[in-house]
Amino acid sequence: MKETRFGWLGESRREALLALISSEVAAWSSEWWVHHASADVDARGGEHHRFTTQGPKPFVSPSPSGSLAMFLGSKGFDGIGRHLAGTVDEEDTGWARRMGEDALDDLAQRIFRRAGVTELSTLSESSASLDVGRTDLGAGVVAIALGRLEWVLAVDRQLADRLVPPRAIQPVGLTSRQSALDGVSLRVNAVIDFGSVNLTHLSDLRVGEILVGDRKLEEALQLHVEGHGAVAKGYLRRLGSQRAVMLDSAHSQERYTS
Amino acid sequence: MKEVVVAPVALEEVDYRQGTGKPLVERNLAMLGHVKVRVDVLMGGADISVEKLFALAKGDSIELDADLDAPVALLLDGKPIARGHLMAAGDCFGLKISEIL
Repeated sequence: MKETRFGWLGESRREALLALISSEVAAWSSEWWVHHASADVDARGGEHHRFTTQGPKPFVSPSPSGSLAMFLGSKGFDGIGRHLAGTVDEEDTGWARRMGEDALDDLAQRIFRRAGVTELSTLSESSASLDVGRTDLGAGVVAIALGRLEWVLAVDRQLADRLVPPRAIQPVGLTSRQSALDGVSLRVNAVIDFGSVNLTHLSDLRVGEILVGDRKLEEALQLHVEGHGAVAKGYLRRLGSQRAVMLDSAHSQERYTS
Repeated sequence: MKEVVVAPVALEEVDYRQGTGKPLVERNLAMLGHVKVRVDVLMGGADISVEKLFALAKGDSIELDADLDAPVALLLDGKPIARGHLMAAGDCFGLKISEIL
């Protein structure tokens, strides 16, 4: 079963991811767009629901190390190709399509290479990986504009983690459960098993009366761990002005639970 | 000799449901007068660590958070129902009741 981790990328990582994708897009644009001008290349972060939840299926480049998706909206590869080539010629759609596809594949591969991914696959239309555009699952979503041409590029959390790895929290050495438990505080109670009393006697009991138990003075009392029961036997003693228990033996039977 | 037919006892199925109407047994503790219940006396307690608990040995002592002359609690089914002072009643423990509801 695929495990999907819920949670957004933090602000600083989103900014770092945007800067990284911006620089890759700028370098890519300078090689592919005939009208390239730095001022006309823009990359903006955000959710961009219009692209990621509506419209045609995205083009996805999946890899075991994460996925990247291009949400082109109503534009196809041919629209991208024509814009990059600076032509509006509606003819030769095949050529424009190949160019658009090659260009976007190249952009995807640049980003994968930045993530250190070497197993690359080409973009293909897919609706199977729509999670790739969900920011609530940690996707990084960037709207890219080359002049009037706009589309959305999204990387899933796995790829985002490779591109801008989360800063490791201050490493704290782990402590064994055993030694951590040693410091846990427990409540122990010293209890005398006073004996059996008639219910009538108990309900008639008044202040000042003496209830006599059947426990001998020299008999041991029990040490109870709160929530568990008796664990040891001991004798009542004094320690300065306080009562104390001097332990004698382990208790084998449990009866009382406080 | 008369012949006796032997057969397993067949019990009628009962619906498991809450009974309605007046309780059959009137609440009268006097009726249970001869019934004995076990009571305990809480002498005091202490907070100790797990490490200390498992290191306790014969002869070790644990100081309780109760003064020598502080009242002790009488417990019925683990619940305090009265307070009093521990006495020696012959060779048994006794409890002189100082507070009870």
